[in-house]
Amino acid sequence: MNKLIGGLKQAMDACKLRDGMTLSFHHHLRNGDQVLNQVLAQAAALGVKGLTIQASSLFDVHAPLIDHIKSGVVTGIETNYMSGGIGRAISEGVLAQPVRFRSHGGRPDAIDTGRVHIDIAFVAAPAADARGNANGVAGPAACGSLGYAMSDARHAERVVIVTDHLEPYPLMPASIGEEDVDYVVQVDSIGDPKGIVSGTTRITRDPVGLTIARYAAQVIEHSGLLKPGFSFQTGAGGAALAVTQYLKPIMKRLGVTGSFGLGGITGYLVDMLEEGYFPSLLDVQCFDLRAVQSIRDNPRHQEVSATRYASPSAKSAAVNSLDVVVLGATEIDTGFNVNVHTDSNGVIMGGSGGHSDTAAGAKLSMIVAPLFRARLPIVVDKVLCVTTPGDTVDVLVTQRGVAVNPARPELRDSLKQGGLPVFDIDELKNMAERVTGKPALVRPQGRVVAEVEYRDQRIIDSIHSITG
Amino acid sequence: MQIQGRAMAGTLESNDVMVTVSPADALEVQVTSIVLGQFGEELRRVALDTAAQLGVQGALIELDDRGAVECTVRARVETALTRAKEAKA
Amino acid sequence: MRRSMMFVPGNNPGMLLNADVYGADSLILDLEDAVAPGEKDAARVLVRNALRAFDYGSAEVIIRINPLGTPYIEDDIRAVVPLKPALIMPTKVAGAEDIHAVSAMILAAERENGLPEGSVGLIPLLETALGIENAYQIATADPRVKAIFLGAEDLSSDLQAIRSTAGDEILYARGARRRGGLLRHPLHRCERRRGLGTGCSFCPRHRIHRQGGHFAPACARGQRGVQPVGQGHRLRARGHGRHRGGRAHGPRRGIAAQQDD
Repeated sequence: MNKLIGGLKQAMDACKLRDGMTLSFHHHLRNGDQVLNQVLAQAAALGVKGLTIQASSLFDVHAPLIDHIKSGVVTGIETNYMSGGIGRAISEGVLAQPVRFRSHGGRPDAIDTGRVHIDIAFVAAPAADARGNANGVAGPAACGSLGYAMSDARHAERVVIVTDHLEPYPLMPASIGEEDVDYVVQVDSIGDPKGIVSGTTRITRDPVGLTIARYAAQVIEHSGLLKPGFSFQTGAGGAALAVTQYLKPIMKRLGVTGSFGLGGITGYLVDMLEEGYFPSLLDVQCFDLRAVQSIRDNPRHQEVSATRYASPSAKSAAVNSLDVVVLGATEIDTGFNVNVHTDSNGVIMGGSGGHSDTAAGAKLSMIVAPLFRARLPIVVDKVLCVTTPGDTVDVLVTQRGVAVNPARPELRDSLKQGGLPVFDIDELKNMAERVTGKPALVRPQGRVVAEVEYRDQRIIDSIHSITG
Repeated sequence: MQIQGRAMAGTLESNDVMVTVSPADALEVQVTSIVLGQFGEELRRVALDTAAQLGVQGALIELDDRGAVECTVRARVETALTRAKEAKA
Repeated sequence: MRRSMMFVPGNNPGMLLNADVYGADSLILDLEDAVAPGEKDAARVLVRNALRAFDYGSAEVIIRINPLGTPYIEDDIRAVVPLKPALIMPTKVAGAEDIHAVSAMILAAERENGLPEGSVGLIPLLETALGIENAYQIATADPRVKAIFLGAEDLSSDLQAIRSTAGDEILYARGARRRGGLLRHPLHRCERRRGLGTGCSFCPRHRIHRQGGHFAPACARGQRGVQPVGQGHRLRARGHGRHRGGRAHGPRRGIAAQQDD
């Protein structure tokens, strides 16, 4: 049996690609991905129409998708994150059918349980063998963990490995196993390394961001959770990453060794692993080169599937063992609901990713954000889109003070006793508006262009078009 | 105050507003802003008010705003108008 | 107590907006080196508006003005005095006569604005060898003079010395100011924590000259600078480093030796 197939066209013929099918893609090659575009270009050339794209995330590099929508090749999109380039087109109404947003935990849940059916999974693989064993740690387009590809490979009708780096059988290690793979296609390039991982991610140098990070570390210190066995996840934004730098001396001072770091792994978490702050890292996605090298070389840094990371139907998931998660926000309202789907004008430029999953799972969910960004207060009366419901958000940390969800009075007391500047969230809103002035409300009024499906399968919000 | 010529003040940096003023018969304000929906009307009001306080009755005031708060907008409009007063036509 | 003093470029709205985020004891709103010649007028108006609109909390507000001999100083003083800053920082001060000149201009502005005469204090910037030599005269020239600020970067240039973390090249200057009875210069060279333990000061001012006259603040460095200041205090409490009234070492003896010459 020969799985190695000449090209994408032959793979599509072999898989009997038809109008109306659902094609899936993972986003581990991020803004350097070339596979999704190559696949759609080939499908378009074959005259196929009405496809649904089931992508774990979409980035600006996927802009050709907009033309495929206009020409009818693509009529449906389901994803966990959509960057501003494509997001704006969706907000302007280019797609007739609303986008279905899920989360990094909700998507594998839907795939594993059969709610979402994938006809063909095109799995970009930095390294593969001729039988379809694949990993993300070798090859010129190495990306590290392939966590978001695993449910697709397990459950899709047909699985096509797309690689630019074939190795002799049997490839080791194998993140995707030959037992799930139908075909293997070799292409010239699956992605541009510069767009896949940043050389190094950097913490913020901005004093506002550093002050926020300092307060955030103090919140963790006084939360009661910073004790032996502590587990931690932080986002990839500048202030969130900076929290690690303030957390380390506190952990050292208290003599605390954690149990695991989770993510979304950057070089800063790798440092914490190598310096002994955590004995292990669980990795669903590598953000930079250091993370890729570490997952390849360090047995204490392991890949996890998106199912194991965050699926609500998993028998247990890592997010539910998490003590603290540090997250960002575009907006947060006085009910602690958080929006990371849109900008302040309601234009799509994001998505939950793991935001709502980690907030739901972690014992302490913290939002770090400046009190205002470019004259826009971070706290609003009501967010333009609910990504993460307020009952899963515990603390907002800004450079001028922190607000604690009223449902956590003991936490509020702890933080006050720890000397932190604690305010009601309304007070933080007023503080911001005293500087910025009160913004006029901007809320898109057009038809529904996206629906937000929460982890529990409810549609918790919808996003409206900024045009008709 | 009479505007003699064209003048500018401010920059395109974050939290600033670049203000360009030129002679005109009446007071007119044109606003471009990264927060147009939220503060467009407010920017217009502040620019007009600043001009009125300086006794300027005729000028075209163009704002290219990057999220400047009120005191910054007032400062930049005042500086531009003062410079325009001294500029040659 | 002025443990940390931070320069804030007077023509930069974003920095004026967030100036108190560091928690520095003093904020020095800068109309001088951080502001390009063509923007002095804009900076005056912006600083005026900022002081009226923003609440800098418990930080002491100092305004640095342009030197005598420039076309800016008169407008600076006229604009700044009504704002009632804690102190004004005149620059390139070479001798007592400079203080007298500035003081007279301020007196006129105090009268114009109905402010109590002598209410505006001065913290002159000494940044030349001549200024250092005349430190005592400068310090005692006028009761307005409440403190002296050492501009170590410019002084080093004037002396054609190389700036170091240990600061040996400005030892004499520090002693000179001490003799004038005025102490506390803020920290320079905030990048290296070891230097801070010996009683150095935090001041991103050196950036101004590296960048040729325009301020490019070392934000993260500022943050790192403020924290070790507390450590500096603890070290001094244990008798380390150079400080007034305590067990100072070598450098102090060096200065005494020079006095005996």
